[in-house]
Amino acid sequence: MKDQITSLISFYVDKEVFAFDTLKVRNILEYGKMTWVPNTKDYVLGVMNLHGNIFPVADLRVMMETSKVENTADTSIIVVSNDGKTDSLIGIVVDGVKEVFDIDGLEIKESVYHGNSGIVNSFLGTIHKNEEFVHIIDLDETVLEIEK
Amino acid sequence: MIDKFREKFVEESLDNINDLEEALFLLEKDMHNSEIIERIFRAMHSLKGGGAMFGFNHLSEFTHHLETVFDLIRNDKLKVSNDIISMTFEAIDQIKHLLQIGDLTDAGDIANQQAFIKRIQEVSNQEGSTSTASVGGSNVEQIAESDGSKTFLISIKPNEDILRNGTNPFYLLDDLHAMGDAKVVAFAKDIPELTQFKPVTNYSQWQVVLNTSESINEIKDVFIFVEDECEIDLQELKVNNVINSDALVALIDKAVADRVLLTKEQIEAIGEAGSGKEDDKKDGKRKVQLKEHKISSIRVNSNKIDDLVNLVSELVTIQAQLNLYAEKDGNSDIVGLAENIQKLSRQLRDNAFEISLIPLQSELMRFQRLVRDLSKELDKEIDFIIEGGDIELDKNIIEHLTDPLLHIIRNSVDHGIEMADERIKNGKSPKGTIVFKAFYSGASVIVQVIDDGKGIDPEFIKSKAISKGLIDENVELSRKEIFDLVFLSGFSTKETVSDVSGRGVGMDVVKKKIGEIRGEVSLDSEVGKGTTLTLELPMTLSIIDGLLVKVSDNQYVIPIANIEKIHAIEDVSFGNTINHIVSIGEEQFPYIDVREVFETKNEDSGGKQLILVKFEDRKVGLLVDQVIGEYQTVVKPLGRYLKKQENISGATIMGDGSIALVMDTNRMIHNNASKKYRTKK
Repeated sequence: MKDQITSLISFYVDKEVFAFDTLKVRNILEYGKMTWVPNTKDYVLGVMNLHGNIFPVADLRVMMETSKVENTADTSIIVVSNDGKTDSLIGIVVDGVKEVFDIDGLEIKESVYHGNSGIVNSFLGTIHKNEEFVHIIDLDETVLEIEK
Repeated sequence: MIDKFREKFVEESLDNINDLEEALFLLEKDMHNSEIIERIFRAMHSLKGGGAMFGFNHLSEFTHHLETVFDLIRNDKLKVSNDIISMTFEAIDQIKHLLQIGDLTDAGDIANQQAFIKRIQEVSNQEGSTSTASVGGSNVEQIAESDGSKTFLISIKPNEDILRNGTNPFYLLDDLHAMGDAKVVAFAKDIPELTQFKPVTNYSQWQVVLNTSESINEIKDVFIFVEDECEIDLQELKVNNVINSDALVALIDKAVADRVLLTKEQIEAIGEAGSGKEDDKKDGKRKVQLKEHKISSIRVNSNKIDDLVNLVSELVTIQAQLNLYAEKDGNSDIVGLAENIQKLSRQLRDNAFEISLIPLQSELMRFQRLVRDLSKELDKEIDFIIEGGDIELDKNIIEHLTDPLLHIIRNSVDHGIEMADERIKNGKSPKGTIVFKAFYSGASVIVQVIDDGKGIDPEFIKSKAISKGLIDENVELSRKEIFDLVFLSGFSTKETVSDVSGRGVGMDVVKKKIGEIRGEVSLDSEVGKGTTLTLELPMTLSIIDGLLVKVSDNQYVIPIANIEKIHAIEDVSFGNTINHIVSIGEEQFPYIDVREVFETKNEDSGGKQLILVKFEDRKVGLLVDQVIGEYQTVVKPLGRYLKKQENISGATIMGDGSIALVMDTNRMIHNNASKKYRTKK
């Protein structure tokens, strides 16, 4: 799985850097108004409308149980679909998008991330880049958790 | 290209097979009806011909043998029997199989097919029964010789008995007409006096002057199925396009009057006379009598219809935005325009949705077949009666409906209808009846499956539910509530899993499936008299008329079809807030505080209104903050992550781009008003 990844989009959650496979990302939106949906889990903030498609928005910071959840000008919503279908669109709220980069020769090592990461507990690997560790989140596993 | 034709052929053949099955059912009831036999023969004939043409050689071969049997029957050389009908049903399954996979490659399959053919041949084994299968492998497509148009003189003289084979010569003429400009001359000189006239005998012949850019082979292909039934003479003329010349018209008029066939030389002479220019001014008058073949329906890929419906849905959304803008703007020109667009888009919407409706009929064959096969297997005699097969539903609904209905009918045949001796003992006719009934009721369609079998005892259901821990022993349940228990998961009344209906799908799955298309299931039964299963279905899935309401910060849409009445809070007196009962006038109703159900955060009290909604056979109030107004809604799914959300069935985009959620009142009431059921985890 991780061998197929050629580029990543990295972002902050609290002070850590995480990443998704760029191929799964459909859009990046500013944090904005959304419609709250009753009787949902606490990390589901509501639903949004993108080009006529309605999709839920989940707060990754709440999912990973970070110490503080605070919205700033950098707070963004990364819209992903793990299988490419519109039915599977979901927005993920992060503390800020960092960059998109090609893997090009960088080594993806077995992830040793054992942070206090809530329901996000599957990682595809970790890359060391510019003195920073980037942990690649396994989206397939993560959305399965959300779907539960 | 060829693949596309093959696809089309398969599609059309499935229709043909449907027709075939339907005719077989009729034949089973009326074994001497020559019209039905004719219909069956015709369907087989087209399957055979088409099969050979599109490279389904095994299909063609197989059908040929079957056709032979019905040819014998048609000519009174063989009698219809139950065995033949059963065999034909089996053969239809084989044909379906062959249509799906094309020619057989597996040796075992081929052997099976050969064995089957042997069986068919044994049936038809009376001498001299090999009719000509003339359609062999000579259908190699040839590239058109040139693209310049040519003129042909085609003489068609069908045999006297061509009509008996179900061939309509007019279709041949239509096909020729479709290839280019044509003039058709009919010669009916052989028609006898009325007393001697036989309607099934052909007395006519035709000549066609055709100007076309198609090759001679294409023209020959038109006659591919009637080669043995017609004398065809095809001549290429060495002339320019003379079709529209007055000289040709005159020539034709003379030929008709004199009752003499046209000849190649005559027409070529016109060409030489040089009048082959277009002077088609007075075309109108002397059109050769040929009824225009009107196409009354067309076949469209269902994806295209889905696209159309989606586009119309988008349009309705945008139109709502326009209305909003026009109101804000206040410019009377724009308001007028917006109103017109609203009118048009409503009509367009209704039309588009009508297109996506298909009659229930299309699925009924499968049910009929199921009843027939199952009753044979179980040795029960069952009449399957269909009422309202012409009722139309959204095709997406029908797709979702088939499996649950198959299950319900299977249940009726297996568990409902008793064995013949048991029925006689109880004073019933030995033959059981299952009625399949569909009808409109308001904005919904009701589908019922009614059997006159042994019925279900409510007491039995109740004790069963208690023993399974689904309900409390002391709970008081209405008759309807008891029957609803059947739909709880973990409830199955049949102890032993029977071969037929015990396939791991219980009634809870039926309920779930029907729920997915916003439908409701209910059951009613009387011991000894029978059981009725009722499905209430929406006619279409994606657009509903809704009432827009406000609860806390959000807007919600309640389907208007469910709404009974709206009451201002002043009319209502909350007698007992603990039991959630309100009284309006002299009546009392249970109610649900939507804020409470939704666990909204801010709790300031706005204005409040009570909406009375229908729920099964009762009325229940929903307490909302404010009613905003009527709103046409394009319902969109919430995506897979919110599927479990029970109180909301979808969302809709408002004119200003914000989102309103669509309430599923039925489920909300069900979940909140029936806490009597202990949910089994």
